[in-house]
Order: sequence, then structure tokens, then C-alpha cells
Amino acid sequence: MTMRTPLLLVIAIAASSLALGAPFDSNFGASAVVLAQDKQTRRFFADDPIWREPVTQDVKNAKRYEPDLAYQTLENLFWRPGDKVLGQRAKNINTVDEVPDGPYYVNRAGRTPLTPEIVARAANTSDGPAPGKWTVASAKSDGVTPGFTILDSANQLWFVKFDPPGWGAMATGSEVVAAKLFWAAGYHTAEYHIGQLVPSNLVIGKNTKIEPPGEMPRNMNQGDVSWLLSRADRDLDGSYRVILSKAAPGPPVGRIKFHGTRADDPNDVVPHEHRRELRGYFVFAAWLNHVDAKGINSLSALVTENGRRFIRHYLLDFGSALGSAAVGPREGWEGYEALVEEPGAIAKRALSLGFNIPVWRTQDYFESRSIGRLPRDHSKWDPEEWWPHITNAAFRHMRPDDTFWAATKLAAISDEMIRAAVAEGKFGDKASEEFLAKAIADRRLRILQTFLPKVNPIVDPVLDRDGRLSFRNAAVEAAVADRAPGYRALWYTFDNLSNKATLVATTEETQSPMLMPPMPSEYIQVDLAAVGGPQPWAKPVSAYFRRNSGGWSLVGFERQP
Amino acid sequence: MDAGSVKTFVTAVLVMLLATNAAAQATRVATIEEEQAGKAKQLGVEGASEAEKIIRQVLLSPLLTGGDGLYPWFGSIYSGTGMGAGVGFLKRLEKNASVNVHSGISLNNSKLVRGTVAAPELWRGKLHVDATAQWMDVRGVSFYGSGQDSAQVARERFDYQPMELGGNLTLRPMRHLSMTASYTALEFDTDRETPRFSQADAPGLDQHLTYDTVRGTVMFDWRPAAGYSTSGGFYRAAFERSEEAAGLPFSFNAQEYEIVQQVPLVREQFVLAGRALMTLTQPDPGHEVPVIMMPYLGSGSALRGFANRRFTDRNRMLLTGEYRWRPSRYIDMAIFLDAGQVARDRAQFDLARFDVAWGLGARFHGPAFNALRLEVARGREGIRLIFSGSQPF
Repeated sequence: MTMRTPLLLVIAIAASSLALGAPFDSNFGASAVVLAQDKQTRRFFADDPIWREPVTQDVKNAKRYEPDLAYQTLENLFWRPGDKVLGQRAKNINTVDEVPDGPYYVNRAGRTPLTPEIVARAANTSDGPAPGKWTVASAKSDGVTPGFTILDSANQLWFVKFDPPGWGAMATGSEVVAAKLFWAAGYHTAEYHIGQLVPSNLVIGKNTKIEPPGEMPRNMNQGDVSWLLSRADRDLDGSYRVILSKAAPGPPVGRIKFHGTRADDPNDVVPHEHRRELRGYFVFAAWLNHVDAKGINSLSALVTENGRRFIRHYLLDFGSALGSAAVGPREGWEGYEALVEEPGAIAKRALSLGFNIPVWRTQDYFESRSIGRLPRDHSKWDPEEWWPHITNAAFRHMRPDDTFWAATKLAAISDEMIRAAVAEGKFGDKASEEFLAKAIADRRLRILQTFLPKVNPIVDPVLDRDGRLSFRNAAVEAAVADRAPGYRALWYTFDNLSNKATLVATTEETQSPMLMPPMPSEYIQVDLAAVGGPQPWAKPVSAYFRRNSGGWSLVGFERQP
Repeated sequence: MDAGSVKTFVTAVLVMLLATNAAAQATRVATIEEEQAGKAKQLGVEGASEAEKIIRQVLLSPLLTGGDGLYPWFGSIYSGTGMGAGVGFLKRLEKNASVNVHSGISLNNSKLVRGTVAAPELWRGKLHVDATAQWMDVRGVSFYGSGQDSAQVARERFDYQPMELGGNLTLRPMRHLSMTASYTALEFDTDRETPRFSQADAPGLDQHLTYDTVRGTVMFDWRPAAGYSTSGGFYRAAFERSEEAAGLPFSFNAQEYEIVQQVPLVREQFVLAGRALMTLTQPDPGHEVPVIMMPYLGSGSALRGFANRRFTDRNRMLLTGEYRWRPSRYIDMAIFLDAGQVARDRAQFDLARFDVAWGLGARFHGPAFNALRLEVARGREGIRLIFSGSQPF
């Protein structure tokens, strides 16, 4: 389909000209052929780079599919689904190496001006449930943590979750903090509020059912409410601190899958393991110790905006993030090992009679009832060695340019923003809050130190009308690497139709900006590398500029690990 | 309209068509739209793969979900009979009440049928009442003669067919502490094909015996879970009166004391574990303790490195120490040392006469249960391999 239409049109023009007894108009023909060639070889289109992922089709028949957690676990442990060829560049990025806004991700940190106030508000659009009685619509009776869904007096649906007994504020506060920071990083999250549940304010819905363990589903009664609340942390006044998350603005149709595409979503054309924001999710999850970063802790909802019905994907359920494991404080191994450890590590420890001791067993921990348990010192924490409970295809396909992308987002999230997010957790424990904010900032620093210098960290090249090429070095700006002694630029003319570059000149400068030699073409390619810097910086990034009336605009950027 | 005008018109229309199409294909958005439109024509249904459906079915089995219905059963029918397998049926009722029936057969053709009924918990879960009915056909139980000096070559085998009906009343007045009062009606036969020991040397064998047994047990168990744990302790004292109901001279009293202590080190990277077990029996004057009810040593959990029921007598003492390390959160390794003695009289216990066995083991477990224990143990009579589904203690 891609090639056929223009060629048919060329034939049609020629045929109609001949039919009308007129000579073939070589110009039309030439244009059409060029267009046909365009589709095959054109590197950059007129609208490149795009910053919004096209969502051009209505989703009409998406049915809810809840993946089985055990199956997901087994699948990722033993079958490793997704593209078998690792090392491929992300396929959903635009031509300047960035992720366009779309159903999974919206550029915020690093692209839009964020403030601590904005981060603190994050996805919230209200002050929480409308005043009045809360009507229990359903209850979560399985598992170890209780939960309700309630309808407020405005008939808005909210999910209600609790802290485990003895750990007041830990799970609810950690979830709020993580949600705010994931939102700042660019992911879609729900609206979250810390609230207070007063049992007398609960009304059981007329048709609300419950399925207690070992029993058949039946109508819920007050005893069930008491039983569920008995498994939650209760305040001295008899109320319960809760986290309220607003239901997504559309019916749920499933969870994020980390490989392949949704069969019922026409807009979903890039295999998820090749989506950069899902690969980079690893970095953000490592940052916030979100060990439960699996598909079941997300939500895909069918939403309608601007007349278009499409699926948007939200990250949810951050109760097992930071120092919280939802039902208790974080276990030492979480974040250091997967749910099932690597066979090699097991063998080494078995043969060593146990004296090959993992670091998490010996390091010092900060522990408090308000934030749970976290390593006390993160200065030696290695984000590359971080493990979620279950890995996934997107994480397995992650490359250094993906982790670099994520790190640049983190570089734009300041300590003040982190403190603002932590304050929203309302832990009520100043010392623990200060520790938590520092821990998050320290982990961010370790991510920057690890991932920014690992590839050529040149970003944001700009070529002005006077031919001065300026750029930034993300690693140097983040103060995680020393300045490079110099930079080398290889200047090419670039043929956008044939995708061929011809070297014109090589220049070197000690710093940005660099001067462009005379370049006669519409497109130019500049390969930029550091001279005398770390070894990965010697591998050039390629910037592509298109001449326009005001000078040059960046249309392409490539960073290969 | 002349020919020139027609030509111009047709050309203009084509140019417009071409321009529209060209514009659509000259943008990134258009190419993606084309791809999405293509997919829109061949949409599928999002759902579970065949593999996922199978896994879901397996996971829905009562064995794994704890739910009601039929389930596969795996375990040991009787000590020394090898692995057993069978089928069970579980029905859960309110307040942790349940009905559980299972039957199985073991590698040596021993058979078991057991039914347990647990009544609804009383007094806020502090009082439990349950009843068990059980029938077994156990093949090839070993007997080497009484005492620590029995000879390995003297082994004879007998079959054991008990029918048992019993009930337990368990009170848990506080966390960790439980007190159980039990009654068991037991009736059994033991059969030997070619007796090697006399009736005097093998009391109770080849006889039909019927018992009324009452038992009192006090336990303090502060391990996180009885099925698997790395810390805590377990202390038990049991007192039992077994009355031969037909008046045959096989009535006796028994006491058993057990101490298990686990000491985790380096955040449970290492665990030092120890166990002391002592079982004492006192037959009524002129009575004997039947062989099948005598304390014994030699099994996968009591004096490993010796054959099953290798040493039998009225009293036994067992000391065990283990050095465990944890290469995985699901695998424990252990080096162990067992030492034990049986004796006709408790005054005969002498550490210098304890038989000793040592070995190496791997245990595959979950957070609160042991799934598989593989051990190799060496005693003075050779090396033995142990396969078990439970902790050694």
C-alpha cells in the first residue's frame, strides 16, 4: 500500500494524457516518481520532528483483558517474550531522539517548565472526593491488604487503600510520593489524595458484593467492613488514614504489556519492547525503588478526547515503592534481586558456604514506621544492578541511549521538586521525610553519574543563522563528569532523498559553539564527538539540520551507544 | 469544452488528487496514519494466549489456591514407605471449618485414606476442634531388633494395617502457645511373612492390638511458620497414656520432649539450628511397648545416615545441629550432624555411645513451607540419600 498508490497515479496520468491525445507531461511524471521514491528513501519529512504521537484511529472493540500475574511471572522468567533480537534502537522515538507525547507518556521534566508546586499537584485536578457520605461500591477481600472502591456524593469513583497495621503513613505516603514523581517524569498517573476514612461515613451500596476467602460471593454487610478495617492501621481517634485514587476517565481495558502490541488497538503499531518510555521506565522505577513495576500495576483505559476514542496507559499502585512493601517495610533483597535470583549467583553462594554475602544483607538501613525501610547510604548504589521483582521485555531491550534519555529527564527534576513531592506524602515525621527526600535525591545523582557519561552526552544542538553550532553536554552540566578537552565536528552535506552524506570539512573547538564551514545544501549532517574525553564520548552523535528562511532547524539527532 | 480544455481539466483533477495523496505521504504523521489505518483493518481480540489459559487452569486447582474441590496430593504415607501421591477433596466452611479427605499410594505400594473434619473456630479463634479418621496399609516396615547394638543384617520386615479414629481439642490462649488434648482409638494388625525375632524380642508383632490413647501436649512455637523458618524456637512436651483395650499386656505411658532453636546470623544469611528430642516410654508392670509404637532412630529427620527405623527401643534421645546458609531466598543449604541413642532404660543414655551421622543438604522452600529436601548423609553403616517434603525439624 505504501508504494502502490503514487505509482498508480503516475500510470493514470500517463494513460489519461495518452487517451486525450496529449503528450505525456514529463513534469507530473517526474514529481510522482519522486514522491514514490520519497516513501522509500526520504529520511526526514516536512513535519519532522513530531512531538505528538499520532492517534488517528478510533478504538471500537477493545475488550477488557486482565493478564494473570503468575503467568506473567513465569513468562518473563522462562520464555522471555518479545523481539528476540536485542540491541535495537527504540522505534517510537521522533527524529531528534525523543519520545513524542502519546498514550504512554507526556514530555514534562526537561521539556516543560516544572516547579515544585506543579510537581506537588501532579495529576490532581480536584481536592479529593466530594464532601458527604462514601458509598462502598466494591471491596477487595483477597490478598493481605484491604481496599474499597467508593462513590463520593458526586458519584465519582475512587479507590481507597490503607496502611498496614503498625506502619501508619508508610504505604499511602510512599504511593503518593512515587506517583507525583512518576508524573513529573512524564508518565500518566492517577489523581491521588491522602484522606481520612471515618467508618461512620461509610455506606454500603445496595448491591455491593463481597467474596470473603473460602466463601461464595454475597451481599456485603457491616461485619465485612469491620473485618476489612481490622487489617488496616487505625488512628487513635478511630479513623483510618487512606489514599484515594481517582478512577481513570474511561472504562478499563487491561494493563500495560511490555512486549508486542495490543491486538485491538489500531493506534498501537510499535512493539512495546521497542518503546523508549517503557524501556526507560526501568530507570525511573530504579530511582524510586518501585520493585513492583509490572504490568498488573498499571491500567489501560479507553478514553475519549477531542472526539477521538483511544487507549491511554496509566501507571498505578506504587504502594511497593521507596521504603514500603505495601504490607510492611521493604525487605532487604527488594531492589537488589529479582523474585527469582540469577542461577549463577545462586551457584556462587551455594559453593561459598554462604560467605559470598549479598550487599543487602550487610548494609545499614534507615527504618521508621512512617516511611518503612531503605538503605541508609546511597552513595555507592548502582542503578544498573537494580532489580524489579519481575523484569520484562522492554527492560531487557533497554540500551544506553534509552537510559541516557531517562537520566536527562531526571536531571531536570530538582531537589526542591523532590521535597515538594515528599511533603505530599504527609508522613508526619520530619526526620523521616528529610531522610526520604535525601535518599531520592541521592539515588537520582547515582543515576546521573551512571547513565549520563555512558554515551556521548551531547544534547540540544542548535545551528544559528550565522553558522554557529552550539550544544550542551548533559553529563558536564549535571556535574557528573569533567569537561572534555575539545570537540570535533564532521560536516556533511546531506541528501534527504537518497539518505547519503558527503563529508565537506572537519573542525575542532575546545568548546561550544563551533563555526560551520560553507555548506551549500538544503540539509546538512554534523557528527559531533568529544576529543580527549571518556571513551564513549568519542562515538559521534549525528545532528541533521534543514535550511529554512530564518537559518537552520534541527530535524534529526541520533545517539548510538 | 474542447480537447485542450478537457486535457487541462483532467490534468487539474489528477494534480489535485496527486497533491492530496502526495501531501498525505509527505509527512511523518501521514505515514504513521497509514500504518494505523492498515492495522485497523485487521484487528484482533486482546486476551490470554493458550499457554496463559493453561497456566490459569493449573493455578485454579485447590492445591494451589486453597480453594474447594479436588486436588492432587503428594506426601509421605508412613515413614520409610517412599514418596506418595494421590488425590484429595477439600471443602472450606465458615470460620475456618473444613472437610478434607485424601487418599494416596506410595512407591512401595503402601496405601492411605484419611479424612479430617475441622469444626468452626470458637472463642475468637482460640479454640479449635478437629477429628480424624484414617486407614493405612503400610508395607515393609523395618525392625532390626531392640537396642543400639542391633545388627544391620538382622532386619526383618512386617506389614502394618492401622485403623484410627481420633479427635483434638486445641486451646491457644495466647500467641505462640497452644495446649492440645487428644483422644485416639487405634486398632491395628502387624504381619510378618518370615519371622526372625521371637515374640519376646519383637513385642506386639503378629498381634491384633486395640488402643485407647489419650494425649496432652503443650507447645510454645515462636517460629514465623512451622513449615519453614529461619528464626525462632519450638518447645514441646507431650504426655500420653496408651491403654490396650482388649487387656493384652501392651499398655504403657509415654512422654516426649522436644526443643528446636534457630539462630539467624547476618540478616539470615546464616542460620545455626539445633534440636534435642527425647522420647520415654514406661510399660505397665508386666507389659511391653509394641514394636510399632516404640521410639526409634533412623529416618530422614531422626539420625539421618541410618536406615529407616534402624534403632528401636523403649527410649530414645536425639541431638541435631545444623549450619545452614542461604544461596537463594528459595534454597537453603545445610551441613548437619545428628547424634542419637535408643535404650531400654533411660539410665543407659550415654553420649559416648551415641551413633553419629553427618551430611550435606539442599532445601527448596517457599516463605512458609518446605517443598523438597535433598540430603546425603553418612553414618557408620554407609551413605544414605534423603528425599523429603518437610523440614528435618
